[in-house]
Amino acid sequence: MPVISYFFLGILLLLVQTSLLNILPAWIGTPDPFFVLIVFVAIRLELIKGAMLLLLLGLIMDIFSGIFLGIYPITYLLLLFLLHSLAKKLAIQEEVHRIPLVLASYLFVNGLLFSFATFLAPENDLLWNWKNMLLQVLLLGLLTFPLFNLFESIDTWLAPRKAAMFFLRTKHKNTFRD
Amino acid sequence: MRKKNKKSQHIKIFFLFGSILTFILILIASTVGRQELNGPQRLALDLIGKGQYVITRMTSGILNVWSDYVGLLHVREENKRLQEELDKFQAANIKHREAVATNVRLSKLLQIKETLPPPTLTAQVVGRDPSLWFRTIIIDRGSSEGVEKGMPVVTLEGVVGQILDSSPNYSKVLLANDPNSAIDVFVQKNRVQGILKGNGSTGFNILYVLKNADVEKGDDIVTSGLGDIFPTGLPVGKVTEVTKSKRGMFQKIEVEPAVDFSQLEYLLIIMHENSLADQGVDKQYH
Repeated sequence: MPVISYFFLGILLLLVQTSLLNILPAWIGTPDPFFVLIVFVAIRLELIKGAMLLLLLGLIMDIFSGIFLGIYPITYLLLLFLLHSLAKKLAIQEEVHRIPLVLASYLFVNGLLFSFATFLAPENDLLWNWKNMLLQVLLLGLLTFPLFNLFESIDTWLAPRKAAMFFLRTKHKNTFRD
Repeated sequence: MRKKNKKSQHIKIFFLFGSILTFILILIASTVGRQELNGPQRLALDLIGKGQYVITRMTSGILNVWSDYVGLLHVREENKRLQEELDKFQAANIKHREAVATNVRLSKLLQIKETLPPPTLTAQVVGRDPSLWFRTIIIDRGSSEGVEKGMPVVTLEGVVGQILDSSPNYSKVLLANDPNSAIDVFVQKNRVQGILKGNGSTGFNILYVLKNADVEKGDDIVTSGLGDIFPTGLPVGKVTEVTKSKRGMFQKIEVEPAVDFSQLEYLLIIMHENSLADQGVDKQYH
């Protein structure tokens, strides 16, 4: 249930991001709520479920962005494994670590995307633009707390419903007892 | 003695009234038939006029204060009503402006359609690439309308990019300013040829132009038509900087795009001769 819900939420955020938020002037930058969801999913869901969801979202992202298919799923899966291995040693799920976690993840993901794009087409001059990167990081820093709170509200909204569905489900009669 | 006193008193009163009556009669007799005020009349007018002036000013002042006070009671409602009317007219104005702007853009597209080899298909931008590293857009025309990979996409200003992929109803366009885009171009004035590559931000670079080639700032760059993707002579941009370093065979040429990639809205896809659109599948778009 959460996997499906987060998947549709991711699609919705991607739609908003690619069609609505792009009308903002260039100097403001483009807010990236989809990426905050990626980090949230990576630290909140179990490894298998998280991997499944991030794979799906990465495949969707491939459709909307870039020309090399497959680099988003790989990048998101690498981020997931990194965050899961870090979570075993560090308390990265704490509230105070949210902003640095999201920002560091953003730099990590973009570093990987840049590396993959450069590796796959070495003849192209892809330039690392610190100005744009810092603008995006700043914007992401502003969005992290409200979006995390929103996702957590959705998470808690989904949880009792899941429990209720479990208890309220129709039970089949045991036909062998009669 | 007493009677004498009474008599003289009566005579005095009679003379007083008589003189007053005579004065009034003289005054009436002298006033009737005249059109000009005399001295005393002028003095009286001056004095009374001053009083009238003072009273009138005071009254009008009080009336103004009163009318302002009464008027204030209604001004909030009137202001609200006027504000609503203003909002309504502003919204209508924005709609009209938008309609005019759309009309102008579509007219321009129509103009360029006449200069391009047929068939062409109009498309609208529906989405943009969210990443920092790639420059692609999504348009609302797909394979069901004959859109195929590699088809050039243009506007009146010039080259936009080419179709990268398409679904039945939507297509992904690789913009010319993406670093992965490569278009064969030449300098319009002397046909010096090169490869136009996007620099990932707002401009282009032209590669593989020899140092001895005559390229200057301000030169127009157009498509060469080689590779059979873009028609010959489509505007691409203007040269903004030419750098000839000591090493290497080629010069570095920077080009400012003719198209503003941040303002893309309506585009034209130049279809292949044998595409579905040419066969009349979607005639309304031509």
